[in-house]
Amino acid sequence: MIKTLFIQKRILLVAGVVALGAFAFLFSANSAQAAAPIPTVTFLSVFESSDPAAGSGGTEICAGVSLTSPDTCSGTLEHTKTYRFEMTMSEGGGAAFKPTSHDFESAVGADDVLGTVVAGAEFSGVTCVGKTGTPSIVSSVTARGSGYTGGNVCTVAKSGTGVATWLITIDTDAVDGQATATFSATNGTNSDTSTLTTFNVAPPSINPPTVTTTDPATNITVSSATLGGNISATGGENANERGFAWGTNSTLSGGDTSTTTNFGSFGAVPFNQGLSNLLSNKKYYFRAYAANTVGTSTGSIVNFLTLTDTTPSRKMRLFEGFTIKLISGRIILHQR
Amino acid sequence: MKPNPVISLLIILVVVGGGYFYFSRDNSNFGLDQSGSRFANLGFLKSDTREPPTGSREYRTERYNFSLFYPEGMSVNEFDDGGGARTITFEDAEDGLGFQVFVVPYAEAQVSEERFLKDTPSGERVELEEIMVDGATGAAFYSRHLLLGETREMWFIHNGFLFEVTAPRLLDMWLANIVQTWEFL
Repeated sequence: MIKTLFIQKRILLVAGVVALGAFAFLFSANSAQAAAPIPTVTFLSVFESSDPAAGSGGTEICAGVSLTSPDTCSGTLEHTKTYRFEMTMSEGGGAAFKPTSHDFESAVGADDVLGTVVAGAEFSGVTCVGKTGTPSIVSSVTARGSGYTGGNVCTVAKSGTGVATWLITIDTDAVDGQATATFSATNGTNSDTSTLTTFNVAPPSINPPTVTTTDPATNITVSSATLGGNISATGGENANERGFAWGTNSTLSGGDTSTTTNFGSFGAVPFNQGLSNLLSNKKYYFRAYAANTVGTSTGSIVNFLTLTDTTPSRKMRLFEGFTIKLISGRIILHQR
Repeated sequence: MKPNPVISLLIILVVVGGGYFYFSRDNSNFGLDQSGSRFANLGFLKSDTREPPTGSREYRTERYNFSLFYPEGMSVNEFDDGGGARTITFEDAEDGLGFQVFVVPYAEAQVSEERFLKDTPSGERVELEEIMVDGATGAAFYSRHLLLGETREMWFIHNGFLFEVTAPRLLDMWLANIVQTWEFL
């Protein structure tokens, strides 16, 4: 009996020590967390947008995806276009919060193939939006590849959540295929990383160029005029052909309709073409057109009126009053 | 048989004198052989002083800013065609020689088909070739006129004017020699 009681006391003593130890451990852990809060970075979405101050808007590339890291983006990021990566950064205890690094990797490369951003992307600006809502550009930075440690501090309200925005322009020669993007942030003591996986990088989709006809025609005379047109957008690929259809038919179909054509590589610039040998006091119709490898676009049909020729015509006054005969290879004139 | 020195001297004098008369006559009348072939290359060289060669005179107009040499003895007449246009005729009715210059204000860089048909109702234009008249690019061709018959035409544009030089086709080379003396002032 006495032996039994002795054993029970020892068990209680051990239990007490364990309990005290556990309590001390939990207490010390909670104290450390309060002293060094951990920030969190979470992707919100990716938009196609070139406006660093917009904060919102643009076509959402990754609509409807899970927003827990790592996230999956089903959209495609095209070369030369600019995208706005948005992510939240929790306040993490109220400390100053700054992005510390970013990294792009293509699916084919173990290394930083998209790399130096590799293939592609480039920070053109970092925007922070505080919980009060007004966007403000903190600074403009350019950073490539991983290892960016610039000091673009995005301070988040003590008890709120901030949205960090990265604008990334995909390079023309970016490696195509799946890629991942990783962003990290720190509050100085702890850091967090968010990864957006499996978004696609691809050449931009190509459309026919956008063309307008310049109205009116210029340099109009009795027999000539200058036609104008403008490639207002290439559609993603320079036009390889541009010109005008013109003629006296109001629909530019059939009859005397002609086409002027220039071949080459034409960006989004105005162009013109001189016409000559036109009829005086005549209404002509014309429209501009341009084509790339995808298709052809035309501007609207406009018209102009050539000037009236009021100049006198020639009169043959030579040998007036004479009759002319050719005799033995000589001109013989006789007075009428 | 020994040749008579007097006869030989006479023969030499006749040949030399005849040659001098023949060539001096041709030079004074711009090679007036109407066939023109023999004198095709006897055009005058342009002179800085515009001193007309022997047997020729200068026609000069400040209004249209040109000058040319024409054979002495031709009658020159000017006709105001209105609208700033004018026709100048150079005629020698006795020898059946002559040409006319029609000048009309013209803003275009090239002669349009409409203008051609306006001044050439026959619409005939054969053996078209490019020519240059004192730096002005133009065209020469053969055409046909109701009264003149076959014509030689030389058209060129300069300084806002269209110049249409016309002569009977038979005078083609003769006209070419005259046009070679053309100079814009």
